[in-house]
Amino acid sequence: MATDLRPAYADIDEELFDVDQIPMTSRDVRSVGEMLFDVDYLARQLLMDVGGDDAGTLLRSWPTMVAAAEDLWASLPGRRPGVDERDRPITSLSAQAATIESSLSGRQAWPGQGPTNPRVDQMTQTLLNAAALVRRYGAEIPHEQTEAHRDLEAARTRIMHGLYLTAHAVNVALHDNGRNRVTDARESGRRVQLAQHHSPYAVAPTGVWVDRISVCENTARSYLTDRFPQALAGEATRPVDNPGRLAQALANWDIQSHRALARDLEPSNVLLITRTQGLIAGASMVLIDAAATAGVLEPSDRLVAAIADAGRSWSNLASRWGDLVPPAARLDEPLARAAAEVRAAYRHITHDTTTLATPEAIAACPELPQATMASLRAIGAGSELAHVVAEKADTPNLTGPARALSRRAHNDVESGLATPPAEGDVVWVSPADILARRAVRVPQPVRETLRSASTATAAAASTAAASAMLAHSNCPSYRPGGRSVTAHAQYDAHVTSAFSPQPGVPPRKPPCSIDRSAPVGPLR
Amino acid sequence: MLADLEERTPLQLLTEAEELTRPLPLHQPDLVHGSQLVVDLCDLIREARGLGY
Repeated sequence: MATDLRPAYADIDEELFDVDQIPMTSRDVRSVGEMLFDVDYLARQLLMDVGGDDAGTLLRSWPTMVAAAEDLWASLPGRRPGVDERDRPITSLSAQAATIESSLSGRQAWPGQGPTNPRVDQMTQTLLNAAALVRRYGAEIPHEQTEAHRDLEAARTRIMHGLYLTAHAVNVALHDNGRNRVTDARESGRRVQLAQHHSPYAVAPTGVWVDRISVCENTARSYLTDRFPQALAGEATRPVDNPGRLAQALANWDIQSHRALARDLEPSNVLLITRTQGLIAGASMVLIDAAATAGVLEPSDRLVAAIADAGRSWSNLASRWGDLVPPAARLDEPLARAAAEVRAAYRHITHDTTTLATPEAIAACPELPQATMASLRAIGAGSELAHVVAEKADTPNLTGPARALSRRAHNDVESGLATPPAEGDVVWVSPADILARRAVRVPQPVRETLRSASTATAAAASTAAASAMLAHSNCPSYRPGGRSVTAHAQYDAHVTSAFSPQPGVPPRKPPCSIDRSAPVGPLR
Repeated sequence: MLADLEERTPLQLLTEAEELTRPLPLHQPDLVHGSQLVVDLCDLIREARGLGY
């Protein structure tokens, strides 16, 4: 027996309960509340980025999103029989969206047939996933109890809030589209009859759609007036149930971002990667602050400043890649799901019901030590990712929408970020390409600033990585004899209940080995 | 505090304000129109970006 060196079942079994062994899953593990928060986030991003070229894709996606929202609304438990005043706005919105869909179906005139909007489609899918989750587990919700009732009200408000933001984004795109048409017509010497209502730019053929979407926007707004904050105050949060969630999310993010970058270059994927890296930097600062409060990490101004600088650089780079994304660009689905899980996992720690939790509240969170270490490792690994992204800026024949690139090229030259041309004022993108909304090759100033922003991001990420790795190795709670004995005791108890195969039996490895970073390090 | 403000661009200030509303500060009773506030901030950020602020 003693000479048999083959692993016993118990040795293999131990791996299954070892918190270092992160099980990878492609399932969407977010709660309904987290999915609704993500719809809010995506709707905000849409509204901040939307432009006239998106109008057609947004119009085509809008009815499907409303249908998904109504589906989720209908799935919520506690619906009263018959006509309920509370449901009237979503029913109205659904009817309005259905007529828009029937007008669009088989239509030859603008916007005609074509692609839908990936961001709205992602929100739609999230709403559908949430509805499926509620249908599966909704029967267990004691909706007659006050707490559950208020939570359901908060869910309805979040659904309507997402629809309001999206409807407004569609309206903005339509106005922008109309303004582009007016500008183009004036530049080509044609006379344009400005509109008399909504805005002067609600001209044909977009004017009629402005009318119709405005009705939807007003319906959603009327529901939310005086209601949003109060309703959300009743939102419940899920208790901590997986101390390794953030580590899992970041490990999966690492895999998916590399896979996406290894495939053909899609600016939409690079945009999501750079944005998410910016988010990781921002959320890490919150965790580090709390960890310093809890004594998990030694306070370090240099670390915080380096991560803040890296976060700013990632965000700046994201804004530049955003110019290269065509209106109907698709996102890599596993990448989008991984990014959503990173957002949800961070929010789960950094927020209480609806607000950013105080450092003291986060410091009391039992998963903080593990989350902080996972976050520091992610910052440490960000340096390599920044170099991979920087390589993408050198891809030959990069293209992007003519209008966005023209604007960026002129802005970069005017602000001195790009080398001014020796021949004076240059038209970087031809007006004909802008008018026809063509994808054009990236002009020289934009390519130059994209490269310099990539280099700056790689440098900032390297500095942040060095500081993060130093903090990681100096972490008192992960050093033998470190000060946070209490934190260890609490953490041990938590890990025991979550991961030990037998209740009350401590984990078979000491906590100092819990965050060995095996899943993250080698993958970068 | 004012010196801090002067160091930041309008876009940075707007972005920071928008980030504060991500979890809407619901404990502040004066912010009753939270959803409208989000829309306004996102509109301002988009316009500030367009103007190159």
